Amino acid sequence: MHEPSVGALTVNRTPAVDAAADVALAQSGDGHAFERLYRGHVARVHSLARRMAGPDEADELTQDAFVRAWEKLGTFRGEAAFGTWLHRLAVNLILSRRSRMGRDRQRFDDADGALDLKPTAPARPELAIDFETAIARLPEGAKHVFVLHDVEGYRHDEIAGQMGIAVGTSKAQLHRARMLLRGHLEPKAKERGRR
Amino acid sequence: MTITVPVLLLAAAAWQQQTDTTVAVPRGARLELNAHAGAIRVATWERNELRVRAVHGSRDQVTVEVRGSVVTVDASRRYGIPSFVEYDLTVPRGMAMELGGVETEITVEGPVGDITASSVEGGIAIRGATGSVSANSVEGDIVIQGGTGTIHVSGVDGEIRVSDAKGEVTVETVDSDITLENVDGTSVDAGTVDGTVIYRGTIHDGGRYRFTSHDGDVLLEVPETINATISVATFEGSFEADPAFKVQITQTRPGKRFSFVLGNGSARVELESFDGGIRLIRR
Amino acid sequence: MTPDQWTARLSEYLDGELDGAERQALDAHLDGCADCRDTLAELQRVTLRATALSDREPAADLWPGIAARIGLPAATAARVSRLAPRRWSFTLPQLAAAGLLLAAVGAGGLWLAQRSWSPEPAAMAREPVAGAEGSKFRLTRNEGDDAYDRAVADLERVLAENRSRLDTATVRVLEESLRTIDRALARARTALDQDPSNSYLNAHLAETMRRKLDLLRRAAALATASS
Repeated sequence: MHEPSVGALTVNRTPAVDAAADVALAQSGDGHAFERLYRGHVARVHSLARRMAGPDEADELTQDAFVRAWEKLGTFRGEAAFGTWLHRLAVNLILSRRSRMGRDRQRFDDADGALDLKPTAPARPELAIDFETAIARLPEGAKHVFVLHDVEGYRHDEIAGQMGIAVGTSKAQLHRARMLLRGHLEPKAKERGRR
Repeated sequence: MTITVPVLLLAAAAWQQQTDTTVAVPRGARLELNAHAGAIRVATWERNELRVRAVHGSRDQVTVEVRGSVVTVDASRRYGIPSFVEYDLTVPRGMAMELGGVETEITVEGPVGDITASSVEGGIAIRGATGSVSANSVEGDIVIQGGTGTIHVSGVDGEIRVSDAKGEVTVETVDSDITLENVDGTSVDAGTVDGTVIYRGTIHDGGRYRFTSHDGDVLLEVPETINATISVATFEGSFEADPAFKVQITQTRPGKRFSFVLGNGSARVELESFDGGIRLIRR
Repeated sequence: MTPDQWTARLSEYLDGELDGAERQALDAHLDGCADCRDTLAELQRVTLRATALSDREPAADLWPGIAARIGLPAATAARVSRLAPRRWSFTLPQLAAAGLLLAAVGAGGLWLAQRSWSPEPAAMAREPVAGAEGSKFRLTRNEGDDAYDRAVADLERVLAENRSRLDTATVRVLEESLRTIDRALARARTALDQDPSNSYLNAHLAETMRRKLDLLRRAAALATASS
């Protein structure tokens, strides 16, 4: 008689509903099914790419990730949720690209970029950068570990394995990122007007 | 009952009589009963038969019709709507049913199958269902004990209590409290406007849980070993967690939404109250 | 340990990665060091903020590029709708014409959208607002509010015309509950005026509006069904 009520739909980092049927269809070559999977997961993959590599490369990395996912669909056995598998694939791709591109520059630069070591609350809040922008300005090593650990929920041993670093280094980088981000928690000043 | 019937008949011969009919029903049949005013009581037995006993006005006629796999029980009269009818049904174990009424109190006891029960003015009590349960009433308490699958309860002004149920649970009401006790929910969404929401149940890894109120408290009573990302939102209310949960953030400003992780953060739990107290209690 | 050495272990402490002895030592230190306690609280806020980040779709549709590379036709199939499925099939003629679109979004990416009557998913009026923290869409309140108000007015009229068919006790209960919801709505709106980008308040208001509409529909259905 009554369909269950749904209430507020939270897009906030909740993985898209895993459409097992769509995965099976896509594995047998159904492009429409794969498109549905794309639509359901693109926000998460693109956000990961943007945070790890910056907005300029995010589009291309996202496309690459889905193309690779299509190519490797046959290897997905359903032992984890499709979203989890796709996400891991995207992380691997982003990290491998980074190491290719980053060969010319220091991997874990000790320069602190544009962030202070001891940030204090800015005197004029409207000049404060927002949290996502602050993440983007972290030194690369710290940024990657922070995104993978605190934003995406990976463990240090997983991150260390994927990035080819020691667990201790991963922990140190995480701490460094958090310390640098402390002063950038306040939200950006509210928009004036809405139209 | 069989002893009192003759007494009733004698005492109220003019306006009340009883129907007592038993029919064979095919396996997997579904029961449909729509009453207007009165009561519906359902119990189960091991036979493939449906027994209908009804006490009703003498001008009313109670019929039982089996058509294909649907069994319809109905009361009618030549002119107007039937007056107060009290149904006592005994159904085969596992039978699915749809029971409805306006001023009707509905009580179901025993291992029935999927069940939908709705009333306007009348409480609903369903105990022992083995399948999905859907219950809605405007005025009247709703008590569900048991149920597996989809449990959906919707009320407006009556206490809602769900216990020993398992599966996907949705409960919504406006002016009353919701208590979920010993609920094994893989996904639970319980919300009221002016009332308390209490959940004492399982938080499964990977499950989704949402408990909301506007003016009332939201209480989550769970073991401290759960794996959940808990998101708390309130405007003028408060948040408190049992120290065993090792949550260091407490709400310090109005309008804050914050979240914290217990264990590996697997389940998603949302606790919201505009004005009430949100409490995380250790079981 | 020097102060920096204590500070350096705060993240591990927060994540539960210190062993018993180390943890106890840091516990003891925290008891007496306000600076470290403050830093710990700040670190915790950072981690909580990280978990609250919301995901955002790319500004451009990347599917055509992907489809081309994997050799699929780019023509998009019916878009996957992330809107809530239709929850009711109320068929009053007055409502059939009223498309109801409620999109209320604030910082944090929470949104509630419902669309009735049309098989096409709503073309949500949205613009990613660059720079604003986490926010995806701006409020399309004007449009949504009008449609909502119309729907509410229609239902209230139906109810008024048919309430004599309902039992007085039922009417009383329904009216009381509607008043409860209206009070909640008023408080939510006042709160939202003070804090317009509060994602919780936006979602709470939208949900309470939905509840009111839902209750009115139920009431109207009851009233018109009673005969």
